[in-house]
Amino acid sequence: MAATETVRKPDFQSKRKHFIFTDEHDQLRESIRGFVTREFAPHAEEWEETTFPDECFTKMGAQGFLGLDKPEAYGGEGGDYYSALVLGEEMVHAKSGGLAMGVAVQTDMAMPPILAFGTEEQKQEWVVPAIKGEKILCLGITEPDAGSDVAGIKTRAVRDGDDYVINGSKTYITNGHRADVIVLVTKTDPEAGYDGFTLFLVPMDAPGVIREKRLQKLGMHASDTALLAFQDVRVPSTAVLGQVGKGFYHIMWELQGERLIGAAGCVSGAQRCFEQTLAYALERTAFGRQIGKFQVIRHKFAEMATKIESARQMVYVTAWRHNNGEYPVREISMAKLHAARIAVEVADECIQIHGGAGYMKEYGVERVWRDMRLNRIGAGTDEIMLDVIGRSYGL
Amino acid sequence: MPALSEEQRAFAEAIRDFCARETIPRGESHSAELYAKLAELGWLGVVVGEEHGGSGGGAVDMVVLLDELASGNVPVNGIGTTFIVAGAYERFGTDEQKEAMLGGIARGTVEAIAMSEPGAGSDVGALTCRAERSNGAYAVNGQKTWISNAHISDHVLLVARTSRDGTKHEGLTMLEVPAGIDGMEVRPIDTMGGREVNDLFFTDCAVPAEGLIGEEGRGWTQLMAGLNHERLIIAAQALGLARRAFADALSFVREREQFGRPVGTFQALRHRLADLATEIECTALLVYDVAARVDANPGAMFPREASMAKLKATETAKRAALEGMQMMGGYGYATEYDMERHVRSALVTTIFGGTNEIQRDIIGKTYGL
Repeated sequence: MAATETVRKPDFQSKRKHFIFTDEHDQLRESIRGFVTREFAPHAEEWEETTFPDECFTKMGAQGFLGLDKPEAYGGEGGDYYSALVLGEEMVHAKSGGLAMGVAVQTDMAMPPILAFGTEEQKQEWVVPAIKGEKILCLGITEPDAGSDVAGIKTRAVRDGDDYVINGSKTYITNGHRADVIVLVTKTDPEAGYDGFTLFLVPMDAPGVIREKRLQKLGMHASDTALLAFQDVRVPSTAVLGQVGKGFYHIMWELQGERLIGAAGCVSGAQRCFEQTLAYALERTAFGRQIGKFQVIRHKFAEMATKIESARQMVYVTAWRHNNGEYPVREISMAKLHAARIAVEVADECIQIHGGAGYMKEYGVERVWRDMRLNRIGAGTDEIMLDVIGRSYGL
Repeated sequence: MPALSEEQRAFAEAIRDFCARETIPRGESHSAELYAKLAELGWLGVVVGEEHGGSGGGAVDMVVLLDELASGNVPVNGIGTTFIVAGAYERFGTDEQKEAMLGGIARGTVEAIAMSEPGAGSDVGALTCRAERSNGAYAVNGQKTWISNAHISDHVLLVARTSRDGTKHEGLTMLEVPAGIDGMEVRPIDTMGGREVNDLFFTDCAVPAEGLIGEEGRGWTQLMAGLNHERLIIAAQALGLARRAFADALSFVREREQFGRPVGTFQALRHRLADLATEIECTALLVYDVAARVDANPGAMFPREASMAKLKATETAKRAALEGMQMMGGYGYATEYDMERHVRSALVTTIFGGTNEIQRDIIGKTYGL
């Protein structure tokens, strides 16, 4: 280094840029963050008791936030996949894991298969109003007897003339109490193994669709979770979504996008929790100094930051692969596994750093832990992710 | 240790005194000189019945000895396999065999046991080393590998296949093979730990028929009967190693100063040592409790608890040594201090005596999984 060059010092405060995001994405980020902070965050605590109101969807829809990466032909913004990622990250500023999850079901779980596999009529009927937030979507895979074992689902759709008659039950259905339609995974041919499943778009007001129970959960309280029963629900064959018999593969495809967006939410949730806890550790004093200055606490923040950063990079690079046309199932599984795990570890450590305050509802940290805890289970448990990753190596 | 009687406490005390006053040589894993001293003190007889010149001790007595010797950094690596062999003879030897072998062990011979082969590690039942009965001897052909102490042992307790009928576990037989026998070649294997294990090559090696231990074809069952003991031997040694690694790390971080103070007074290290100490305490309680159960229930097998003791103690030893090395910085890596040797010793403990993966399988299966 020449004597005339200035000495380089690290700038820890500067904004971190990542190659997948443009200035446009950054503007979108600011826009979403501002909106949800103003419109949603002040109500987050209330919505823990009541669940969030349906008008959250129409409000988001009016801003164009429900169709960021969806085609303009259906009222979307026509943006790239990274704009969906930005939404997944910025929803955390609503301070409501349940709301973020309900929105994600709409934009990144139920809508994508309709866009990918649906007919023009189906897209007009459901995607157009869903992007406006006027219709609410949900996704029905899991059943009381079939969670990890998706192929074990028993909800039957039997052909009857020009219709199908559906019988069965679905559980843990997010948005299940408020949705207008469900993307439903059924078995149409019990003899055909993995080729015997079909997706249907079933209107939730169809006779025989029963909202049996409102399920009470550890976390995600702002989200409504339903146990649904389908009793001789009759739908026309035009309700088939995608190809008859290909439902399993369709839903496996859907799960990839769901997992990646979920991972993005975990990273950003962990980051926000970290920042809140950092502020606390610089405020709170004990034994004559800010608690963050005790070496062990300092090291805890260092560990958390390293975990969050590693998960973030996995999510971003995997998003890049996905956007590049790859089908990165292994990497998505890794990103989801890692992000979900570290999010819970970070939230847990943040509670501990807060001490008694961490246990109090007032500080919100305990809610982050309870909300984050779902991510190691939902959309594919840690154990399933490990199996997918391990099997991808031929084991 | 709450499980210890007054006598056992006194025994532990005596071993600690021994470790403190003896000059501990560096650079060897088995000191014949120190081993002979242990024999003189009668301590090696802890696993031998009184009728054969031992003190007729139980599992706890054995654990005390191995734990304290390891904790005291005494290099007598021959003791582990010797004690395993002693157990096999106690259980299945004829009176003559017991007299000769157990008496010898009490007097200080080192013994080895040969099970593993290149094609049979975790899957012991896949072993193929052949022993064919003919003319009052067993003709042995085959290869054993990873055989600890075969280079310094008086005999090798060989587990060979006498029959291919039935399942892979049937048809195994234990044979006593004297050192230096014609047809057996012992070749040392270089490992991270040094030269402690060997390949054994058997070419038409004629093992006398009197060397049959127990019953022909019952080798597997006889091996299984020894698992309580074998797991506890390793667990006790690993526990002692963990305690030693902790003690060495602690004394270093109290002395070494950086940034104007002993490095151990930095909170991060204080907490790491606290975590290690807690884990070692739990490990010790587990190991001693399992030994106490074995003593209280003669003849009963404790596959779950014995495997837990081996699993936990070895993982703890590994963690203690690795953490110890990190806390000592460069000095942890240098051979000037013992820590790097503790690491090298600890790393094999999760592998031998049944890998920790096998231990987990055993434990899990006891729950019907």
